[in-house]
Amino acid sequence: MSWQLAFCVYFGLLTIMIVFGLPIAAVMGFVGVAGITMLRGTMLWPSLADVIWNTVNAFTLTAIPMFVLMGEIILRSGAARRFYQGLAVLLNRVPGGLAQSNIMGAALFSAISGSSTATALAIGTVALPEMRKRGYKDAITLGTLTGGGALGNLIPPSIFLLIYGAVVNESAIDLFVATIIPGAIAVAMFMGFVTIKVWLDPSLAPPRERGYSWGQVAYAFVQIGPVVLIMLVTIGGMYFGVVTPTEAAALSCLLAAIIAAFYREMTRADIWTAIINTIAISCVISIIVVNGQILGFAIVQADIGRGVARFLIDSGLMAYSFAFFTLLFILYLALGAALDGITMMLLTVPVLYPAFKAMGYNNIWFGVILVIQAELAQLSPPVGLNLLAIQSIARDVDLATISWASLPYAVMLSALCFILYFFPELATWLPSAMRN
Amino acid sequence: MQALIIGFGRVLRFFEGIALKLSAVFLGAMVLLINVEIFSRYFFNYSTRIADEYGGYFYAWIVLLGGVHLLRSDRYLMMTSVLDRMSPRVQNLIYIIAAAVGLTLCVVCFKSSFDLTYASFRFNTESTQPSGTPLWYPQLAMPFGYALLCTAYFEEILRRCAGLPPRRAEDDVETYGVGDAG
Repeated sequence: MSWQLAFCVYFGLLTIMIVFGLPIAAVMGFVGVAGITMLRGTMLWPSLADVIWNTVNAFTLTAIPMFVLMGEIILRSGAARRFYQGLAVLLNRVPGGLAQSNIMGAALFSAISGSSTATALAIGTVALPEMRKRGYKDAITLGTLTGGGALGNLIPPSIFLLIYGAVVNESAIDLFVATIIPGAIAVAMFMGFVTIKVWLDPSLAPPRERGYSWGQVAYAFVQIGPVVLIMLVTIGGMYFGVVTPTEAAALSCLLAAIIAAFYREMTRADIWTAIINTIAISCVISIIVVNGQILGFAIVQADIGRGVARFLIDSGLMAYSFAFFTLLFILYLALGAALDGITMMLLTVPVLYPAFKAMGYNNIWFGVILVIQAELAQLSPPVGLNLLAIQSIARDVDLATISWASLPYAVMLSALCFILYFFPELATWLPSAMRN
Repeated sequence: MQALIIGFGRVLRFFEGIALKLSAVFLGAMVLLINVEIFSRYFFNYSTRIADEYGGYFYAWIVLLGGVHLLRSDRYLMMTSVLDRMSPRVQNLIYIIAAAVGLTLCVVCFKSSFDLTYASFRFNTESTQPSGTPLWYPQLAMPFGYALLCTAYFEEILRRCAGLPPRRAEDDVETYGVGDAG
């Protein structure tokens, strides 16, 4: 079977089955199995177990359940609530007040949770009722929650980058470090946008609140302390080579458990719910990864990746680097409207990876671009998980309103992609400086 | 027939509960083991030499045992914008097709992983890590997990064909109400 025919069969089956609502993970695995069966009969079936075993036994991926567990503990122990309250006091004087707290809170929380949806949920659960009570308009609140949540994977550590690193054999630490500058730029853009928006339309936020005493400010630092401590241990430990990403995840889990024991808010039922959610979320992600790897194996067997790369070279498109990048951007934008970020990455990277190499793309730089595109997917209706997460909290608001409020943040993230295209050093400089 | 399917579901729910509890134990063991490694390495200059290897094994067990809970609690990611617009009859048909697709995949994966685990057992293959663990111990997670998933998919097909409500009906009556056979 030619790679073109295999490509059409795989693509056609995937599209039809996903559009008709079959579970994405099962579809990926099934198309992979169907693909290798069409190519070689049952000859390659024994290799499937190797593919599965090598995926579920990857030490890098063991960090996933531990990052999820740590986020669950922080969320349910009262640490997330205290963190937000403390941040609200500290950012009281900044134009936009609590709206800025959402962005900064999401940025810091994402530095420990590694997941966009967890970040949006953690901050949203605390922030939305509080902001409504204080008179903030939904028009500003909703966007800061979904957009702020989108920082989840862009600020290290990132579950998405752990998986990308495993797929392309790239160091997770290098990938994490590469997102620090782009993540900081995104935070600055988001906070700048909120400032300008509130300045142009002061009715969006209530008048600046009363000042806080030094004692209250000091207490606010105490409230944000535990989350900041976990963040410093996680990122600092990895950056200085003290711990691996997996060890950082385990250590932050332990710290979160100590903090939870100190606050004494978690009941036995809360602990069990945290564990069940951790297992379920880890399984959702990991089973997609396993089936994505089965599909990737079928793509490699059909020689689709090299075929696509050859086709792109022969067509001359790759001579136009910017046009190629723009096409990729549009492709991921379209895929992101229908798929979650991890699925999108697992479906495309095996097909396009040889083309990226032929284009001279740096794995780390492209990982940062992909993670931004994945965050755009989190903000793209109808399946943007951040939109759905915030709708699950703000049940009286329809998805269109939330999507509209999130649009400026999606535009800013898109702009960040193109900034990185023109200035790739923003992503590549820090990892190389760290190595040196 | 419906009573039989519901009874089958209860048996499966029992195994799901055990699988979930085992997953929780492995999760706790993984966190503990890796922290022991960190502290023993930095404070006592001693490495357990098994943390990386066993961390991977625990992760494999967590994922493969947790899969059945994921399936039975309908938490898989799917795109429902087209599905939601269809009649309940067509939706039911699509759910049956989805379960058949899942079952086919899991049967193939079960066969493949069983063969690998059996080969490891037969040839006494050991891990290349310092522990020299016989590989079939951790690899058993694969056939075990896929067997559970096959059973859960089979139950889903039976339940849908018999016109019963979603699987969680008996587990969560408040949400789904009492099924036709209830």
